[in-house]
Amino acid sequence: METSFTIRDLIEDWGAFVLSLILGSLGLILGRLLKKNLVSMLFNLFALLILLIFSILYSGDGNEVFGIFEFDRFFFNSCFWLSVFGIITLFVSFQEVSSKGEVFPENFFFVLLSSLGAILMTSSKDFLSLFISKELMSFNIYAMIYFIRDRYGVESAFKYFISSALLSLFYLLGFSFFIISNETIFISNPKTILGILGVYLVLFDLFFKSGSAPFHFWVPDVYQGAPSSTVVFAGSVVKFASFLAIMRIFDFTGQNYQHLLEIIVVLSVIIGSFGGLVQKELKRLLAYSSIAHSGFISLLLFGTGNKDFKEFLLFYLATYGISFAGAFSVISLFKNTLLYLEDIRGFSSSHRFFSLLLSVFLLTFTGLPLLSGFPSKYFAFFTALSSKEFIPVIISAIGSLISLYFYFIPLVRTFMESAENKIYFNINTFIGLILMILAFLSFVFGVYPDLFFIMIQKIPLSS
Amino acid sequence: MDAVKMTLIFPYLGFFLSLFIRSVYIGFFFSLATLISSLFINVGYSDEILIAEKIGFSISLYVDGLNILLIWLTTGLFFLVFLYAIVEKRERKDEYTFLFLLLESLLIPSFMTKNVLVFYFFFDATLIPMFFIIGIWGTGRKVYSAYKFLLFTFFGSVLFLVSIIYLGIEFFSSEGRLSFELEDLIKVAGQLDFQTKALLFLGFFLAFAVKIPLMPVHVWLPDAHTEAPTGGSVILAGILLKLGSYGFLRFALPLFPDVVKEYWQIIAVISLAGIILGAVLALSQEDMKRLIAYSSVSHMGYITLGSVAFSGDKITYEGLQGAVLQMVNHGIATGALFFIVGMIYERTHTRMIRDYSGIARKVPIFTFFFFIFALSSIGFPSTGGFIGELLVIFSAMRSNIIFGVLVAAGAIFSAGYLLYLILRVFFGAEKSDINNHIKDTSFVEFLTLVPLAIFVFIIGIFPGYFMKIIDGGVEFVWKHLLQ
Repeated sequence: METSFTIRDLIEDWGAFVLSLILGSLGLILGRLLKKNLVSMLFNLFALLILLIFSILYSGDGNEVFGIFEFDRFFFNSCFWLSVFGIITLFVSFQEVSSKGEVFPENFFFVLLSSLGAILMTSSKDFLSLFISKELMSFNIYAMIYFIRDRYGVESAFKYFISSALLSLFYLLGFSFFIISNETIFISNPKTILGILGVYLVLFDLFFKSGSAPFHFWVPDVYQGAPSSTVVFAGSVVKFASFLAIMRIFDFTGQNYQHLLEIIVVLSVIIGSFGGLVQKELKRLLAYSSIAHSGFISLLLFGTGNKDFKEFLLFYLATYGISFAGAFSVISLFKNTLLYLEDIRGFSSSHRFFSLLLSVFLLTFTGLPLLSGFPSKYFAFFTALSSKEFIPVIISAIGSLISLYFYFIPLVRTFMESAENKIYFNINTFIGLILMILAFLSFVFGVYPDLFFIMIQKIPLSS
Repeated sequence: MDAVKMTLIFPYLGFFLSLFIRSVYIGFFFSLATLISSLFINVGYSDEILIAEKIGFSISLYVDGLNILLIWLTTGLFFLVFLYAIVEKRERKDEYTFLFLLLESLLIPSFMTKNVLVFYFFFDATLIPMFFIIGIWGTGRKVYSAYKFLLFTFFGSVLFLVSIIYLGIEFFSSEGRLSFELEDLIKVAGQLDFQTKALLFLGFFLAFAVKIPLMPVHVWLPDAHTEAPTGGSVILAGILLKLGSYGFLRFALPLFPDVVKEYWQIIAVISLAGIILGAVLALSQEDMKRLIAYSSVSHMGYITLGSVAFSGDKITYEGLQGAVLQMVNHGIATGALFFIVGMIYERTHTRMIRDYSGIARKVPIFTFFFFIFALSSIGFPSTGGFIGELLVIFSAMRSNIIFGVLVAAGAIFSAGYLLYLILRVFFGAEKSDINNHIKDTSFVEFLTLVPLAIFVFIIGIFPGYFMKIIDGGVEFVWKHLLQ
């Protein structure tokens, strides 16, 4: 494929990325020198804001940047939401790092780098750039998991690292199979059986990253052990980017991996909803809920080739990311390392505002009407039923019934029981304000989902 | 801004204000405003507000004889709940107001819409406030009851959603646009083969059967009703159960007329089982609230029986009339009975029948009211219940003589358990420990009960006016079932 490359392209298409990287590294250096978290945080915040503005104001025509990245509407929308989630992560991790009294300015730079990797992942047209951007995203997360140097952090960082590395090998193996089969690195319909196997191996890695069963084994341990701000990132950004990448692969190969999806949906929903039933710790419970939601999101992938399915996928990922980030931001304000459900007894009587926010986010996960979980669930069922996938839909419906039970357990502890022990909770007005906006968005997208689709059409403004 | 939109908007306004102004009076004033504006609603109103094109989500507002009485019942009962909440001894009254206003703002559109998906939306959304109402202010095993209510209802409604989406996709593939309007779906449903229709109907029926509730899936109701706070029981019995029977009449019957025609006898037998077994179980209860809860199971059976009673291959017109009227009657009478039991419980902190005896001398006004509402429940002439039950018994007699005899027997049973309850609680020898500190109605409590009692008699003595309103709605169902 011929690639033309000029300075103008560099500034127009890559200027924002280069500028944000320069700002981020400047922040990292200054933050390290001055031993101030705030400096690094602010520089990286500006860097992410530049990406956000870039996604809205982009005016080039670069449909194929360097021939390996596709800058289409879905890329800009993903860029928008990923930078939003990155910014939320920055605030939450700033709060978390400062409340632990640590100086760790690198963490904010990791957030920026990882967001950049995720953003590029959603636009890759070939397996090589996809691999590199995926590793850029993952490598920073290993370090982000470990910034609170306790037993749980080490355990989950190591677990995530080992299993990630293993699955990356799967990716590379699949990638080489694919090259042998198609003699190109560009994602396209595999010509031989070896190529098909290769694509499957690549998909395994991406489903692993998204936390779908049967590649889910790392999710509960990492979500439980990692710092909550990192989980905010891992649950919203990583899931978003890996599902977008899966969507791209489905799109470029022009195939519907029906049987793989059926297995993933059924296993994710069953493991997620039954696993959540027996959990005693809130973060672990939400980890299982995240597995179940991966199953619901995979339902949307049945619609490959449908007109609307990409927009539905974006809707699900963005609204799920909002509520996930919200829920874990509330959890990050607790001082407990492990947040047992017993510990949040009577939370509402002492912290009414934050308990209300937590309940909004948890109710969003249930998929009950009024909040954005309902349109998401509706889109998932609609897409899968349009492709005549009855059994996965029925199983998901029953799974959502089962998971309804455990989503309400924290709510019962919060609102219907009285406190036994003192609740150690950092009240942070600024994060409260952000969470209020997120809760409001959950509500708005729940009753007026068309707003989201209008937004998709409006980003970037020039299109 | 017309009366219908004002009725929709006032509870929402109140709901948002109650987030910031923490007072029970917000609930009182906004429910009053809702009640007043609902009285100006014209029957025959129809309008469409497009909310979200992408998901076929338009609140098509539609008011006819089928739902106008239920809308009035909703606004009226909510107003009375807030009126009573002013004097009620209750913790966290601000959150109570907040959740009840949310519930009202969800219930009114669910009765008004003709869009099946929007109906599902509000039908399911009511679970959230109701779960918290039972769980926070309930008594005894409140969390257990709240969970039972939540999971049972959601179990029914999950497959309801799948059925709705399936119909919507069928419409989409034949017409090329997405719509969940009842008229559109009726067109599509007519073209499906019988087996598919029967499966889809099962999805609809299960949701409504749990909500109504019909016999095998009624087990959530006694717990939820018993442990809920007074206002929660009133709304649950008075309005939420009607959501099921209303949905059945409005959506399930017109969409699947031939499925109902094929299987109506099964539904009728289930309803009869509910009528008889509910009555027998009510007779053996020791808890007053539980007894009234089982009487609800029994009385809701009349409504489903009336809605499906076929005579030959035609549905009976008077059965439909009776079903609609009985919904209103049951809402008033059972709601009021729960009010009275709740008021007495607040004084004595016990609901056990054996703890009471001969309190009529101490609380004559309560006794008087309880007697009126019990008579309406029984179906005593000159009360509303009489007209409704009579119509249902007529239709049952016409469709099958055995059904008719059994329904009539059920009516006698209900006289049995309610009068026996009155006998044990209000009459007989006085028990000093309870009677010493029980007081008669306060002024606000009296005000709460009076309008309900008046309506019991108005419906009973002047049924013509109400039948005329109902006829407009019944014809809607009737028309679709004739084809």
